Amino acid sequence: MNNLVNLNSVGHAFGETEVLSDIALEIPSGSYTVLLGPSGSGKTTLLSILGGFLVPTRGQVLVEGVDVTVIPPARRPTATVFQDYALFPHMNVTSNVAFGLRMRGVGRAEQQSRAKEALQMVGLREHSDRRPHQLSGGQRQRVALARALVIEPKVLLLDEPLGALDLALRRQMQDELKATQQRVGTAFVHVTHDQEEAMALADVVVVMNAGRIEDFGSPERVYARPASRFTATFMGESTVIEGRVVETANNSVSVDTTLGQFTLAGDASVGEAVALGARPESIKIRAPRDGEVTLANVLLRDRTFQGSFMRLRAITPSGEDLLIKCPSGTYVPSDEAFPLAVRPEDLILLQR
Amino acid sequence: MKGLRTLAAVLYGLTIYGFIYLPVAVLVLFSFQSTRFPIPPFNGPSLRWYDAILSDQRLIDGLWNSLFVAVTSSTVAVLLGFLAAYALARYRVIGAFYVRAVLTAPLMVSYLIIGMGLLILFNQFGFSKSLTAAGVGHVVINMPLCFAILYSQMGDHQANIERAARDLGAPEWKVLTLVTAPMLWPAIFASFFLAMTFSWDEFIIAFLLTRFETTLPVEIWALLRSGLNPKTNAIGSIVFLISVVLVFIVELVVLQRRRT
Repeated sequence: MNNLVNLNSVGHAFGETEVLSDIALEIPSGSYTVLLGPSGSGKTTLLSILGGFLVPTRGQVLVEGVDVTVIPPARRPTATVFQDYALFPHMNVTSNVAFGLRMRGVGRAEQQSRAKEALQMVGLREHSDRRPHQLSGGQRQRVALARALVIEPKVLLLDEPLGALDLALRRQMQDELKATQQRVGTAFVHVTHDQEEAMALADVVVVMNAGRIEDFGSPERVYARPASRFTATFMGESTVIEGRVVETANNSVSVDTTLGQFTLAGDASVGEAVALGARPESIKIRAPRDGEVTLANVLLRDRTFQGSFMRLRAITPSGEDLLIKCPSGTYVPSDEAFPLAVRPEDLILLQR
Repeated sequence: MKGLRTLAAVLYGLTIYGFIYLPVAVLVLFSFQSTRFPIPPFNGPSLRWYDAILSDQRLIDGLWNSLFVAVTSSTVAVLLGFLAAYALARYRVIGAFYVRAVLTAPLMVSYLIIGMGLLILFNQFGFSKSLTAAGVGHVVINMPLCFAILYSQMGDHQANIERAARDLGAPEWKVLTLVTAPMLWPAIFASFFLAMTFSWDEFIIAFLLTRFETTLPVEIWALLRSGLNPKTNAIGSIVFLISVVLVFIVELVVLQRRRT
């Protein structure tokens, strides 16, 4: 796939504060990319740089090989869906959607028909005469989407587009966004702090933290094999156990931790400080069997009922906290130690 | 107990409104006096003095002059105030705090000082006393007000909407004319009519800065010097009526906005 957008060592500082450092990113055309990170991770700043609202202090932004770093938003092949939608309150829905076409000198009749088409696509055709304040949150979001898509941008930028909606509506709009993206084939770049949203939508998820890219790849890969301690805990939950490599063999490493020594596949050098990550659902409450190893003997600390499963926190004799997810109704001893088993291949070697 | 409290509240209300509106009511009442003096007892009603006004060319000229000065000076004040507010709300201006302070400072300076200052300045430059000079004075007193109203309405949400317009390809002047101004329409409207109200019954600056052609308040003052006369009541009633209409328009716009 050809790269539509290239970011070359982009950095940005607000005065003395560095908010983005050395960002290198490639966005393939037709892909759904999600920038995922906590607030202050620089994801919104990165989106502003893509949209042209901010000129980065360092680095280059290329769209289809053309340097657009200092090109203002109006002359970029990008369009943005803002977090607060930023609809024009004094115009009706059709005029809102037609605005971009009007600015491009498209004839009035064509403006109307293309705006109607875009509204049809987001399922708002019958509301075309309403003003934005007469619409619900989800409807405004759709208008904002139609308004940005009607000018046929190469890249559509979405700044926490579902942030203002309630949970049920958010999941529904999430599905609609994904369907729309697949229909129009435009590259979407979507900023969020919601990892579930990221996993549901992304072809490529970019995990950001403290102004850097922590991890980059398909959600499945990032979830199964996170590249760093941060990713392991931010994209889904994990227990992270610190340790040190004591032995390496042919594509396998032995790591010494407070819970004992574990041998797993991976590549690291002896003496390197690493961590082991364990997803809560890969930890079993039982003595090890067929290829499993004992993770630890633990005492239950607390349990949270979450419907189909329970979320447990258990503590090891050395004081490490472990997170476990098990089906509701699983028997868990509450006042005596019990063993935890894990398959070595489910342990994740975290070198960053 | 409750009845007593209601009675006290009603009395209080009546006193307040009486204090504010009784003089105006008396003024209006005696403009319909049929005899020569606007003092009790009331004889009438009669439109005799309104007829006298309509045939007084100086007063009619003054009325048109006042309207002309009010409309033009308010237009200029709103335009300047809008542009200043836009610049300060949207761009990083060096010393923005001081620029804002200097812009709004004239609100606290008395009209007399502003009028005298302009008089001296215009004398220096050989700019003669005229309606234009009075109009400039009214821009000076009204621009800070328009600026303050419009600046308070230009929030971050509006800034984001302007950003969206730019993102969709609007050049700067189209952002201003198609998005910013229409979005702030109620505030622009309200500040325009407020400025008109203030210009309409402003006396001191107009008195100091006009000579042959002058505004209605100055003509009324000239009329008053020749003694009390129901004619002054009649023209006063008309001035009051027009002020009320202007204030009503402002209220209507502001209330309309609150409802949406």
